[in-house]
Amino acid sequence: MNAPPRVSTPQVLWLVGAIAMVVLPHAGRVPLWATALFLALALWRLAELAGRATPPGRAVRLALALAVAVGVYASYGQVFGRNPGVALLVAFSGLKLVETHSRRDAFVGVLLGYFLVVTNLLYTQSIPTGLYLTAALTLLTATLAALALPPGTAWPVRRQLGLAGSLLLQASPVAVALFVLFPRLPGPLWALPSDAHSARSGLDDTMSPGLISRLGLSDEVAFRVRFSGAQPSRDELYWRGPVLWTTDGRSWSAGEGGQESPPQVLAEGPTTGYQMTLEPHGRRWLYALDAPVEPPPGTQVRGDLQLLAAAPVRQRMRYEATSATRYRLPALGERQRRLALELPPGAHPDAVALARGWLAGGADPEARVTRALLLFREQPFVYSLNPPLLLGDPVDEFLFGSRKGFCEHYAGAFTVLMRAAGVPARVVTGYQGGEVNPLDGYLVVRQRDAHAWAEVWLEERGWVRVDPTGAVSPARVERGLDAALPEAVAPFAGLLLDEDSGVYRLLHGIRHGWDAANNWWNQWVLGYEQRRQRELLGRVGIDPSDWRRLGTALALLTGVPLLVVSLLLHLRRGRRLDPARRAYDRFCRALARRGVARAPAEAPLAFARRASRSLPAEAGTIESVTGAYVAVRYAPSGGDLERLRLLVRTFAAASRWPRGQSRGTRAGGTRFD
Amino acid sequence: MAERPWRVLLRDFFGVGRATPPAGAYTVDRHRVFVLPTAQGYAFGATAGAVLIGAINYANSLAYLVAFLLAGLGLVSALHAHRNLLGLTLRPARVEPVFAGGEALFRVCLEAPGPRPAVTVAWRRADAGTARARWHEVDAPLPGAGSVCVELPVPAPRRGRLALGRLRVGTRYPLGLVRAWSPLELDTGCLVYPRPAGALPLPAPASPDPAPASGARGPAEQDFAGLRDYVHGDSSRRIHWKAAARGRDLPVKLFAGEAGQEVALRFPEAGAGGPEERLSQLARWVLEAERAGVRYALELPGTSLAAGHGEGHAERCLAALALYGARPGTP
Repeated sequence: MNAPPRVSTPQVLWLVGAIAMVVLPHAGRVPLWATALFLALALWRLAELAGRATPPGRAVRLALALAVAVGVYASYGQVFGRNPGVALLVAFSGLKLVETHSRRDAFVGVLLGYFLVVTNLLYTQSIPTGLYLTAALTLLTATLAALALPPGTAWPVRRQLGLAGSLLLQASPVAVALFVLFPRLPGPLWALPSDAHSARSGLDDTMSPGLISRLGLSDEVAFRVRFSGAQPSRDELYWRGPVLWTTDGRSWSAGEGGQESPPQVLAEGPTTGYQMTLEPHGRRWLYALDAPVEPPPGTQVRGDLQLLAAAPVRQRMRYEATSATRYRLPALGERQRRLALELPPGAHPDAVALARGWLAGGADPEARVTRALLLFREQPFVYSLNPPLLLGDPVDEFLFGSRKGFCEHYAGAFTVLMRAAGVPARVVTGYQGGEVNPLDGYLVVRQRDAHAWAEVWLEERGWVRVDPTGAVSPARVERGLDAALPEAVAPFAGLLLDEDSGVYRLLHGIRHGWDAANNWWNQWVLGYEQRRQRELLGRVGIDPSDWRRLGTALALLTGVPLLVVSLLLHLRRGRRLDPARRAYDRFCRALARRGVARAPAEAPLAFARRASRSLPAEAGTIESVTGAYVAVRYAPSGGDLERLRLLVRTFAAASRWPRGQSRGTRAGGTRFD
Repeated sequence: MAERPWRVLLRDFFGVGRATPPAGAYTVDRHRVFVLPTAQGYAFGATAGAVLIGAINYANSLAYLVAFLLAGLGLVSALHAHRNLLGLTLRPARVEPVFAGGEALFRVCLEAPGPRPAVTVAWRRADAGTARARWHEVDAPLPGAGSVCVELPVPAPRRGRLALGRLRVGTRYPLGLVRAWSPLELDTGCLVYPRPAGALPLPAPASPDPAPASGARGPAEQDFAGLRDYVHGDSSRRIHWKAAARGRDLPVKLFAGEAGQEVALRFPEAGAGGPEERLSQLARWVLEAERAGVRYALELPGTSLAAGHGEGHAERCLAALALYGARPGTP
C-alpha cells in the first residue's frame, strides 16, 4: 500500500539460492568475468544479510551496470544475440540481488529467474537439463510463495518446497494439454541472432588423416533410423554423407565432382524405406542409406547421390526416404571420369609406381581392385584408432611404412591406388552400421560409427562400393567398432570389458534404456513440431486448422485437470482439522442427534448457552466439554486435549441411545465407539 | 461439521445443507468469492507470454513447456486462493466505545476449519488529514485451524453510532499472483460519545443540601476538599498548579459539596451553544461528576436517567448522550 514491504532474511536466501541455481549452468558459457561478478555480488548480498557489508550505493550500481555493458561488448563485439544476451542477464541478475530490498525487487528477481531458466534451454534440452531446470523452477516457485507470505512469517524449507512442488505438479496437466494442443508455428518470428546455434560435432566436408578417428571416441548420436520394413543386414548399412572427389595429396574434399544432375539409380533388389531423425550438425547435407531412390521432399540430390537440404541442419530434423542397397549406377560423364582419375602431380610416387605396375601387368579393372584389397589383407596392416603421425607423404608412408591406420587412411590410400591404376574412384564418407536399441527398435548411429570407404567405376557394373577397411578388419563392418577395436569401447570409462561379461551386458542394458528414453524425449517432446502435432491430433480426429474443435479440445483438456485439482482441494479441506476440533465436532454431532444443531458460524460459548437452555439435564456436561475445548483451542497454556476427548467420547456414547434404555446396552456401546 | 467428502461437495457446489450465517457472523462461501490477478500476476503473465514468444521464435519445445507451466501455475494458484477463503468465518468482537475525535478500535475474529495462511482483512478508513476513506489492509493469518482476531482502527469524528462499513476478506496465497476476496458487512458498530468539552462548572448539588442557591457560587468560592488526578475535559482553571509544580501530575482541585451529593445534569443548563456543544458539556460533566464521586442524574429532552454513580451509570449516561436525537430502535 504505502512503502513496499521489505524482504526478510529467509526471502533473500530463497532468492539468492534460486537465482544461483539458474545461473550455474551458464558458468561455462559466459565469459569468466561475468560469472565472477555474479558470484561476488551474490556473496555481497549474503554478507549484507549477515551484517558484514553495506549495500552498494546508486552510483556504484550504475557504474557496475555500465561496466557490464562495456564488458559484454568487449567480449563479444556486440550486445545482441544469444551469448551476449545471456552474459548480460547473468551479470544483471547479480546486480538485481544486491539491490533487492523490497518485496517488489525480489519479485522482479524471480521473474528474471524464470527467464534465465529459458535461456538455459537455448543451449541444451537434454533430459538431465530438463530435470535440473524442473528443480530450479520448483525453487523459484518456492521463492515466489515465500514472498507472498505475510510479513514476519517464514515456513520451514521443506514445507515451502512442498507447496511449490505440489503447485507445479497440479499445473503440469494444464501445461501438457497446452503443449499438445497449442498450435505450433513453423519458423522463427523474426531473424534469429547469428549465434543462435553453436557448432556441432560430426563429419566435415573434407577428410584428412585423423579427422574421422577423432570421432571414434564420441558416443554422441548422429542420427536415429526407423525402418518401415525389414532392416537390411549390418554389412549393408552404409550411410552416405559427403562424397569426396579431389585430393591435394593429404586431404580430400568434395571438389566439383557432384555438380552433375542426379544419376538414375537402378535398384537390383528390394528397396528399403526408413525415417531418419538427424541430430543437428550445422551442415547442409543429409545422410541416407547408400543410394537414395526416393529422396525426402525438398532436398536436392547431387550427382554423386549426396543429399542436400535447403539450409544447414541446425535443429533436429526428421525425414523419410527410400534407398537401394543393391543397385546399379549406369552413367559416368566424361567430366566425372576425368575428376575420378585425377591425382596431384608428383604426389605419392611409391604408391603410384605400385599401381602403375598392376596396370602394366594387364589385369582388368576388377582384378586391379582385388590386387589392392589383397595388399591390405596380406601385408601386416593394422586397424587402429591411434595411428602414428604421418609426416612425409601420407599415402606412401602409410602403405609402405607405418601400415597402421583408421578407415580414412585405408579409404584414401585405396582411392589413390585405384586412380593410379586407371580405375575411376572416389571417397565416400558417412557412417557404417549402427546399433538397434531393443527397447524401442530404433537403429542408433553414433559419431563413433563414422566411416570412410571408396567407390570405383567398373564399366559393366557402374559405381561399386569397396570398403578397404573391411579387408583389414572384417569385424569393423560386420560387428562395429567395439568389436573391431575393443579399446575404443568408450562409454564405459575405458574399461576393457569382455562382450559376454555380465557387467558389460548390464552397462549395455542401461545404455539402451537411457538411449531409448532420450529418443522418446527427442521424438515426442523436443521434436513435437507442426508436422508431429498434425499427425498426433489427426490420430484422435482433430484437424489443427479447425480452430473450433481445437478450442473445444483445449478447453476440455485444460478444464478437466483444473476441475480435478479444485475437487481435490475441496475434499482435503476437512481432513486438516486439528484433534480438538474433531472432538468438538463429534460433540456437536452428538448434540445435533439430541435436537440441538450448531449453526456453522455459532461461537462455542454461545452455542453452549443455547444448548444448555434446550437440554437443561446436560448443562453440566455441555459446560465442561465447551470449557475444555475453549481451553485447548484458545488458552495460552494449551488445555488438556485428552480430557476433552474423554468427555466427548463419554457424551457421544451416552447420546447414541435414547434415554431409558438399559445401562448394559449403553455401556456396551462405548466399546465400539 | 461433518466433513464427509460427498457432503462437502453437496454443500459447497449445490448448496445442500448450507445454513445461512447467524446475524453478526459471516462465512465465506463460493458464491461470494471474487478472483482477479494482482499487478504481480499481470507481470507474471507477461513473463509467460515473453517466454512463449521466445519458444515460438527458437522453436524450442521445452521453452513452450515452461511457458505453459507458468500459465498453469497462474490458473492453479487462482484455485488455491479461492479455496483459501472458503469456510472462513468472520465474527465481530465487542468494541469499546470512544469519544468523538478519537479512534474506534473494531475487532473482528476469523475462524477457519483448517489452515488458512496469508489471509488479510481490508477495511475503509480516512487517513489523518484527509476526508476521503481509503482501503487499508491488515494480516490475519491462520496457520493452523483456529481463530485469530484483528483490530481495525477507524477514526470517529462524530458522536453517535459508527458503523464499520464494508470489509473485504482476501488472500494472495499461495503465490501472490491472484487475489481472491469476498466483500462483506458485519453487523457491528461502535458507540461514539460526544467529545467532553465546555468550560461550565459542574452544577451545584440539588435539594439535599439546603443552603446557598445553586449556581450562585463558583467553585472558587467553595471550600477546598482535596485533589484528584486530571480527567480529560477538566477546566484548566481547576488545576492545582502549585501542587503540579511540586511534582504531582496535574492535580485538580476538588471542592466540598461535590462529594456525597447529587447533581442534576440538565440539557438546558449546559451552556448557550448548539445541541452538540451542550452534549459535549454534559459529557464532560458526567466524567467530572464520576471522578468527583458525586451522584448525578441526566436529563435530556425525551430521556432522563435517574441519579446514580459508577462505571455502568457513566456508560449509560454517555450512551444516552451519544445517541441523543438518533432514531429510536438502535441500542
